[in-house]
Amino acid sequence: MIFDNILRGNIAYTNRDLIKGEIKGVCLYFHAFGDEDLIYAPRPLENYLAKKGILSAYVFFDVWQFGSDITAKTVDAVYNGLCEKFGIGRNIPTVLFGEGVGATVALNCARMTASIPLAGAVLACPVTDFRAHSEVRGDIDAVYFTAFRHLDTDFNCAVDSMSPILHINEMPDIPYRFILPDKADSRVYPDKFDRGIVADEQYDRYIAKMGEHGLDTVVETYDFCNCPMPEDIRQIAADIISDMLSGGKK
Amino acid sequence: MKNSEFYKIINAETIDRFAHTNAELINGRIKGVVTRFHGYGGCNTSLPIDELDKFFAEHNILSFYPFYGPWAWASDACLAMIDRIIDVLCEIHGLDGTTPLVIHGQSMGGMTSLLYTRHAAVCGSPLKLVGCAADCPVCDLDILWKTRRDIFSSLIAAYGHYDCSFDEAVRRTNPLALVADMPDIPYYIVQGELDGEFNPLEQSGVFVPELKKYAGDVYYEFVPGMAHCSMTQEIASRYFDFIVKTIERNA
Repeated sequence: MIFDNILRGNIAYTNRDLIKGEIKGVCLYFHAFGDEDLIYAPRPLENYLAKKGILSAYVFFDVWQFGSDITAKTVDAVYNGLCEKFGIGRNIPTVLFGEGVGATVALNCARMTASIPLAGAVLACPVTDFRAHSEVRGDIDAVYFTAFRHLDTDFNCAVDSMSPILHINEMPDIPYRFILPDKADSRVYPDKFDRGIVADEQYDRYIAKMGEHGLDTVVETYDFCNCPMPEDIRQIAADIISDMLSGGKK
Repeated sequence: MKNSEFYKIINAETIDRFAHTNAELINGRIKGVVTRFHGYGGCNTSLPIDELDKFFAEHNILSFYPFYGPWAWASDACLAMIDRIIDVLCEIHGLDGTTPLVIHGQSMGGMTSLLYTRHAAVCGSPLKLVGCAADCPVCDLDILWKTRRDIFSSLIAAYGHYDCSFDEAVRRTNPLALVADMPDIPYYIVQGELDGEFNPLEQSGVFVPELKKYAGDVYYEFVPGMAHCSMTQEIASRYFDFIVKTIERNA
């Protein structure tokens, strides 16, 4: 009931006013840690997608929710609210796009929001293994506590219940496009400037497991360190989103 | 809630992951405990020892800053986390119902101060609740979210696990709606006239007269020209002296 009529308040920024003509696709966008200010005007991403006829929704979620079920329910309610408000039919495809913790939100939303007709997910630097993340960042336990403290189980079970790497078998069969840095994430791993360690601990292991489950993954690496991603890399993501929503047609 | 399996992750060994304290600075017997509830949008999990920690430690007062999250808004889960931290601090330092507790916080943390004070009075506390101090507290959450466009989404996040409507969740967590439950203890509330975060006349300006109906010792310092949570040294000195003296009177 909390989520009823969710668009009564300011829960997402959309580029609807910039789109001329019909909406051809939807992009639900999830920001990174450090980029959590709410936006009230379009960035280059929202402008670009509008020109392509893609409705972009920058969802205002709590980065300390870390892709919890509460965030997934919020996203589901926002999506359904937008469909009703803008007359978007279920035949209109949707892409989830996230950066950093936002990419984790995108993964967990792909798993937990059955009502959204997904055409794919674009993921930049997702945290995919919560236990491994905690081992290198002890301060993250307070975040997990805040995110999962409503769950009726013990702490470790709650963390595991939301950790993407433990739920690959529940992921929908859609294309997953990973955009990864070719440098170590110096903020997430302040003592480890080795791309190999980062890849092994967070990205490569997860993506390899997705492949084992027959999921469609493509990895692209670019010259950046962490998310929020530089604008030029975000533009590359925007092109991938546009391709996904047009069924691969330019 | 605080005794659930989940909350047991906060214990004597892990407490530093969930709260910052000044315990390492205190020599001798702890005379009392004070909370430091932070505001909206910020939660520093690597807080260094600061001047306020030292000030309280000089008076043998244990202070703690819980990492309850930037968008906590004093939800039931947030209050339960504070309960659990206090239980663990009692266990570590041998504190009990004779140890005075003053609740202090700023802005959203000021609202948390008011609501935790009520919570401790209604549900009980292992410590002796003796006072409440709030710097520019949010007192009417309903007005706040309707007048600030950035608040709604944070409330959805904070109360997303509630089994009720959004309006009911706000009512359950609105100091103004719950004022009749406030205990009759000393209060010190500071509010700046030029608060840029909200209209103070709609917040403490309405709440304090209501609070005075239920508590006999309410000091309200409305400061001309002061911005949000920007006490001058002179005002801060009076404010923190209230906390120290209230604890010392009850120690």
